[in-house]
Amino acid sequence: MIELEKVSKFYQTGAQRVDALQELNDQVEKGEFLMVTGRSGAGKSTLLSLVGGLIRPDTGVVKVEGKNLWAMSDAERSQFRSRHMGFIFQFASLIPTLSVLENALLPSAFLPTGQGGDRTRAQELLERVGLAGMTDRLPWQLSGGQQKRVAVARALLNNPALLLADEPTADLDEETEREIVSLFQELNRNGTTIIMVTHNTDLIDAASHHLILTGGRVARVS
Amino acid sequence: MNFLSRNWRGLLFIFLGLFTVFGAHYFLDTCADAGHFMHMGDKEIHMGCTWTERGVIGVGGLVAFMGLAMLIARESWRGLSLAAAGAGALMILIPLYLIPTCAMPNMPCNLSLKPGSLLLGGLVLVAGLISMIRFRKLDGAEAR
Amino acid sequence: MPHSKGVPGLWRLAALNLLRNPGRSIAVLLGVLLVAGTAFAGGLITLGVNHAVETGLARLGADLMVVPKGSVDATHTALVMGEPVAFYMDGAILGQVAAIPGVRAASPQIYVETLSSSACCTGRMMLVGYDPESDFTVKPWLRYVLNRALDPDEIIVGNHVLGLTGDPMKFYGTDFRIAARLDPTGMGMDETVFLPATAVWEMAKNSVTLAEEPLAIPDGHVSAILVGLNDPAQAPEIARQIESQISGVSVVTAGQITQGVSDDLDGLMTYLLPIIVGVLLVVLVLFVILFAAIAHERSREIGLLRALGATVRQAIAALLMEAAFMGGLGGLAGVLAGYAVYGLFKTAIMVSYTLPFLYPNATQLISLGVAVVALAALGGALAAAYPAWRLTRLDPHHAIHAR
Repeated sequence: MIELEKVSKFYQTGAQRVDALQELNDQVEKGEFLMVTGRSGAGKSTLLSLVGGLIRPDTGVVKVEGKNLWAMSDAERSQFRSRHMGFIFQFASLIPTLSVLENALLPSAFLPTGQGGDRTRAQELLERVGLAGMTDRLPWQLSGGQQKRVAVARALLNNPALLLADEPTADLDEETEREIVSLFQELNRNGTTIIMVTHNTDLIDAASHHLILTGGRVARVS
Repeated sequence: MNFLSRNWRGLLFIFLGLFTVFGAHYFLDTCADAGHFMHMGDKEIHMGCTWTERGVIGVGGLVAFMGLAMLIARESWRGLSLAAAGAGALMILIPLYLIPTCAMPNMPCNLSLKPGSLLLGGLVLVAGLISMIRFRKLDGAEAR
Repeated sequence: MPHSKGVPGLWRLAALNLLRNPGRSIAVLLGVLLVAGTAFAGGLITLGVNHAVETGLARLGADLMVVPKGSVDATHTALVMGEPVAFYMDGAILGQVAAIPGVRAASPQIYVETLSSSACCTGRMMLVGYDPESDFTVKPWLRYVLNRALDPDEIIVGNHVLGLTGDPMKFYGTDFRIAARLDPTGMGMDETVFLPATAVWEMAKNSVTLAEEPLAIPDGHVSAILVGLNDPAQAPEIARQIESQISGVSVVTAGQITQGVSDDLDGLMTYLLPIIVGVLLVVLVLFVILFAAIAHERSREIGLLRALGATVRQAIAALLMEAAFMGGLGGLAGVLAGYAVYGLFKTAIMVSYTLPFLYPNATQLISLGVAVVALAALGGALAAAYPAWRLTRLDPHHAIHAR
């Protein structure tokens, strides 16, 4: 499903070069639920962005479903992303002027005409994350946890094979956190590959695989 | 919330009202301002537009007074806004029907006072209607 | 977009974004409104003045006007603004003018200044006496509105002259009746009263006994001779011939009147243009700053859209659409405001710059409005192009994780 071959990424901060990831090699199999942990600045977010094609590696190759992300044009990569990947971020990432339903439908706005915008599916997904009857509200009328659930529904709209979640449960109460993780487990059982970055080591058991990042290097724990 | 954003309605109408009063008095011409009078024997009589100007100035003063009222009685903002819009309509009606300006289209009052009053009246009318709306950012939770 | 209902299209996204910071949006909209309003008013004046001159000259129907020497400027203001004038010469030269080769028709007119009225609000007007026999400029549209010759006490009034058909009017002690009214031309004719030349001479004779001030026009004297040519292109040449063959006269050509009006128009535009350009520059700078701020503020959101599958092009388009939308909206408001405010002060502007004006037809008016709105939208998009372009250089990862 995902192959990382000698992938390095460094950032330039002033005169200083920071190695975020060094010659990373890893493979994520289809159907895996991979939990990524590590200290702040260990390169967790960078890893997720590399897999999602949101950032270009300085060296090495990133392949998703056998395709080299950086051999594609921007338009092809964007298309690939909207068809195969769903993203969830730590921050409340809803567009404030759009309703809950419109926010959930957002990924279909970038698909070629006629290939998305399934209102019924969006409504079903919102129901599934417990937001039935709130579809016409605006984001500011929701709590933080509810906003995060809209983001989850949005990530699932185009039925992605790969779900990339960057600390999706940060700032959430424990109950909401558990709900989201069990939703992920259910998705995973239905065949969705999931990579989730987290601080919370209590959540590791929920996943099938565990990867620890330290100083830009990777260690797999089973 | 600073003073300006708390009292924007009152300040706006005080400004518009005073602008009308001084604008009509100093900048908008009537026939008398341009030196035209009617003659009756050897007496000079003011033409109709002089009274138009006084009417407009009076309504302008009322608008400024409503602005002042909005500063003092802030809870009455919506009703005062509607009343100000009505005063704006009055400023439009005065030169047209109530105290009409002179009959010839090219007389000074028709070139200056009448269009000026219509413009000011239109501004006050629109400002009054807009001011009836509650703005979430500007008004916060205070105005209801 | 033919997506199912509810899918937020890029346009809807752009339109809604204007509501995020209403104060800021209103400030920028007001700026655009000012530029677009002045530009629209400027365009409207230019179109309307040209339209009025064309209509006025077409109705005047003459290619040349022969007037006493030294009366050229007065003729110009009389024709364009209807300012009353009084100058006279012997009408006997009519035959000489008519005899010049290339002249198709020649007819005299007499201009009379009315006495300043003592009643409220009626100013001075211009009376024009014409010769029904030889006339070729008044008759064509006289028949159009009246379908018969005038009685000796009947007059035709320009569009702005007060009174209803059949109403009495008194000039120099003689009573007249209004027989018909003309369509507006935007030119001096709107303030003019037309009557047969014989009635003018009669009135002049009687004024000695009837009027407060007598009207001194000797029998047979005229103010101008209107000349129609076989070939209007020959106007300057024939004008020179007339001036050299007949002493004591000047010749005004239709081209000179158009030129004079266009000079006056330039005078007005000299004031208007720097205002438009100045405000335009300020607004452009405002736009660039605004969209640089917006691009900065929303870098995370734009990164998010990219993660959701938006291409670089779509991300840029979203910003450019917002700018175009803002520009277009301000432009539309400007066109409406410009139209309204111009409508109010039209007469004042025209009187101070001695310009004739007639509203252009609806097609021209709408085209002008659409052009202004389109330019405002395009200008907005162009001003936002640089900040938007800079976004392409930022990869989505950094956009999302920017502070």
